[in-house]
Amino acid sequence: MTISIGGLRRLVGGALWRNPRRRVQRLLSFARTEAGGAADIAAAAADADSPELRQHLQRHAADERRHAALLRGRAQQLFDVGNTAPTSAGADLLPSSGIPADAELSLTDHGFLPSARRRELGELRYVAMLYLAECQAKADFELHVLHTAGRDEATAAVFRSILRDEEYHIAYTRALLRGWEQQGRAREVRAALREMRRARRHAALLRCLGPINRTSGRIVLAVVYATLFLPFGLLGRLGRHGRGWLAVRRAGDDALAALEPPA
Amino acid sequence: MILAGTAAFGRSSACVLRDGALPAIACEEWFSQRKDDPAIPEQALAWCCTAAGARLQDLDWLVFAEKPVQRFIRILGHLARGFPCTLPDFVRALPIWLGDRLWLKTTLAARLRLPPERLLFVERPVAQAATALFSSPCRSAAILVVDATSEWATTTLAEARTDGGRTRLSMLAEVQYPHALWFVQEALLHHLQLPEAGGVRWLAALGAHGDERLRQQLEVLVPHLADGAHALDLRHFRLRHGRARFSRRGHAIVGAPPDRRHGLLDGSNAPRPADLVRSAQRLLVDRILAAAEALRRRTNARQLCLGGAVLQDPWLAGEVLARAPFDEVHLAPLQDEAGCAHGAAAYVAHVVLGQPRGDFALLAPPPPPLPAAAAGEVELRHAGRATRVAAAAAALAAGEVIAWVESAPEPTLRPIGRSVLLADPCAAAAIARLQRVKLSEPFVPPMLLADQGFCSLWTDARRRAAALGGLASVTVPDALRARLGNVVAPDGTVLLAAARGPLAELLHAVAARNGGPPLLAMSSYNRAGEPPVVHAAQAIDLLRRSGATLLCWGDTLVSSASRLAAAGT
Repeated sequence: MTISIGGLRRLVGGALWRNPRRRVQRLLSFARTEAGGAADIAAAAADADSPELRQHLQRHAADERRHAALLRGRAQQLFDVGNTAPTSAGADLLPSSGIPADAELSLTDHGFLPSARRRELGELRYVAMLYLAECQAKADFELHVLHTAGRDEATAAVFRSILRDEEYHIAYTRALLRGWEQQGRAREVRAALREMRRARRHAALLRCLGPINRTSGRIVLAVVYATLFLPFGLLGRLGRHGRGWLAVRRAGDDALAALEPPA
Repeated sequence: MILAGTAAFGRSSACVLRDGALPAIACEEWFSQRKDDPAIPEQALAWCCTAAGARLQDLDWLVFAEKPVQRFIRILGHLARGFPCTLPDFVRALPIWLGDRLWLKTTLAARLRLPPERLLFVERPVAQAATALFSSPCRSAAILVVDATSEWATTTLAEARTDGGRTRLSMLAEVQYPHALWFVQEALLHHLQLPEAGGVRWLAALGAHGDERLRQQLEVLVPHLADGAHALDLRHFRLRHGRARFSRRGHAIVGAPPDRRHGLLDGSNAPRPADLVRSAQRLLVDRILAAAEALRRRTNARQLCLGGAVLQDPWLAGEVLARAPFDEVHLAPLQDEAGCAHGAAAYVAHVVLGQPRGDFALLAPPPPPLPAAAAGEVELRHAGRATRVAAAAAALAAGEVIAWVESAPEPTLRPIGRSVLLADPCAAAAIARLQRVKLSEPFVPPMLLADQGFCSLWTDARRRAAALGGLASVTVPDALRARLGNVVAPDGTVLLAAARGPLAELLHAVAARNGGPPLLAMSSYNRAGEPPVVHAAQAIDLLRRSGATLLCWGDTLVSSASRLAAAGT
C-alpha cells in the first residue's frame, strides 16, 4: 500500500478539523495569515508602477482583509458556542485585527518570500510569487472544504467564499503573466516561475527543519541550564532582590565621558 | 549637529535632533505596518533623516536608549534567582540574547551602515528622565520616572540643575526590578484579556465605569515601604518570559479572570472588572504620590517633571498631576519608546555635550501627495484651506464621520489631531458610527477635540498642558455633560486634545453650522489593533472600509464625485 503526501495531508487535516479547540486555533492562524497578506499586498499596491497591477493588488488586499474578518468572525462564533479558548497568540487576535508584533511575515504569512524583498523582486517576480501562492492556497482551501463539509457547514461556507476569491486572484495573476509573455518576456516569466517554485520548496524545507532545529536547541539549552547554570542558580537562590530606594551605582561611561562636539 | 535617538523592543521609534530642535520623530510600525513593531527602527530612522533634511551618513551620533549588557545581566540574575523554575525563560531568552541583542552595537552598525564609534548607549531611565525634562519648560526640576522594565531601575528619582546654560542630570535613587508598578498594569491587562497594544488607555476607559471599593484588598499587591518607596509582593505575581501575570495567590486577591463571552461591563463577572481597574489605578496613584513626596523631601525642588510608561494611563496621570506636592508639575508628552528615543538624543546633546536646548514641539512634514490613480472608486480634488474646512464642516454637521490627515501619524499613543477620524460629539448616531469604524471595545469613548481657549475653561492650571495634549483626563462641566453624553465616561471625564491650525477653524465652522459647542469627537485614523495609516493607498482603502464619507489628505479632498461637486471643488 502506498501513501501519497496528499493522502497524508488529508488524513492529518481531517483529524485537526475534528478537534473544536484546534479548529478555533486554526481559523485564527488563517486569519492572521490573511491579515498579514493583506498588509503585504496593500504595501505592494502602494509601490506598484502600473495602474492595472495597482488596481488588482488593491482589490486583492481588500479580499484578504475580508477573509481575515470572515475567519476571525467564524473563530469567534465557535469560541462563543464551545468556549474552546484558544491558547497563546490566538487569544490576542480575537479583539483585534492587526498583525501581531511577533508575527513572522516572511514564512508564515503571504507567499514564501520575505515581504521586505518585494522591491528587489520587481513586479514580474512578485506576481509570479503571488500566482504560485494563490494556486497553493486554492488547493489548501479545497482540502479544508472537504474536511469541514457536512461536519461544520458554516466553516465550510466561509472557505467556499474564500475559494471564489482565490479563483479571481489566480486569474488576474495568470493574465498578467500571460500579458508579459505576449510582450516577448516569456523567458523572464518562465525563469521567475522556476525561481519562485524553488523558493517555495526552500521555504517548505525551512518550515520542516525549523521545529527540529528549535527542539534540538531547546534540549541543548535545557542541559546547559541543568549543568553549567546550576551553580549560579543555587547561588542566585540565596540572594534577595533589593527593596526600597537603592543608590544608583553606574560604572563610568567612557564613551559618553570622552564625547566632544564635532568640529 | 545632528543626533538621532532610537529605542526598540517595544513600540520601536526613532527621532532626529538637529541643533536642539526635534524636526521628526517616527515609529517603525508606520512603515512595517505591524502593530507595536519591536524591530530595530531602520525605516523610521531613514524617514526622520529625510524629514530633517539629512542623510543617515550625516548623523554625528546615533544614541540607543538601552544598555543591552546591563539588561542581559539583569535577566541572568532573574533566571538564577528563580532556579529551577526559570527553565522555560532560559530556553526562550538565551537564543534571542546570544543571537543578536547582546551584540546590538555590531548589529546596528552593520544594518544602518554607520561607524561603530558613532553609536552611543544610554540607560532607559536616563533617557526617560531626559525626555521628561527637555520636553518641559523647566530648567531645574525634580524628575520622577515610573517606567516599564529595561535594565535595573523601574522607578527613578532624579534631579536636574541648569547652571550657566549647562544642564546636569543626577540620578538620586531607584526602585529596582522586579518591583515595577508597570507589572500591576501588565498583569491586569492580561487578567482582563485586553490587548497590550494601547491597553493602558483601555484600562483608563474601563476604570471610569468602576469605583475604588477593592482598594484596600489590593494593598497587599504593592506594599508601601519607608520613605515613599514600594515593593511588589512577588508571591502574588508570576514573571514569565519577562511579563507579569497574577499567580494563584494573586488570583485569590483579584478574582478569577472575567468570562470574555460577556462584555467587561457585564454584571455577571465578580469582582466587576471596572472596580478592579479603578482600585488598582488608585493604588498606583498612591504609590506614585508617595514617591513624589520622597523626591520633594530630597530635592526641595518647586517643579516636578514626570515620565515613564506607567503614566500612559490618562486617568492616573491626571490624578498625579493634580495632587503631586510641587508648585508646578509637567508630564512628558512621549512616555514610551518614542520618549526614550527623544530622551536618549536629548541627554547626549544637552547634558553630555552641553548644546543649547530649543523649544520642544512635535513637528512633522505634510502627508505625501495623493496620486490620482490611487483614488479608484472615489474621486479626489485639490482644494484650498477654506474649501476643505467648509466641506468637512458640512459633512460633520450632517452627522457623518470624516477622516482628517494633516501630516504623518502621531508618535504618541493618543491622537493629537494629525491623522484622525472626526464626528460631532452631540450626535449619538455619528458617535456610534465612529465607534463602529474603530471596532474598539464599547467602553472606550472617543477623545474630544476643543480649541485651546474653550478647554482651558475646564482644566486647572496643573493639568492644562497635559490635558491639551490628550495625556490626562479632565472632568466635563455639568452644564455640558448631558449634551456630550455620547463621549463622556461615567465618571464625568473625557480625554481632551487642543486643536491647532485648520482643525481649530473646522471646530468653529461646525459650531456655527449646528449651534453646538466648538468641540469634535476624535479618534486616530486606524482601526483598533491596526497600525496607523501612512500611505495614500492605505488612507483611501480605510476610507472605503470605514464608512467615513470624506477624507481630507493634506490639501486634497477625497470623496464621491457628487459630494466633491457639492463642496464646490
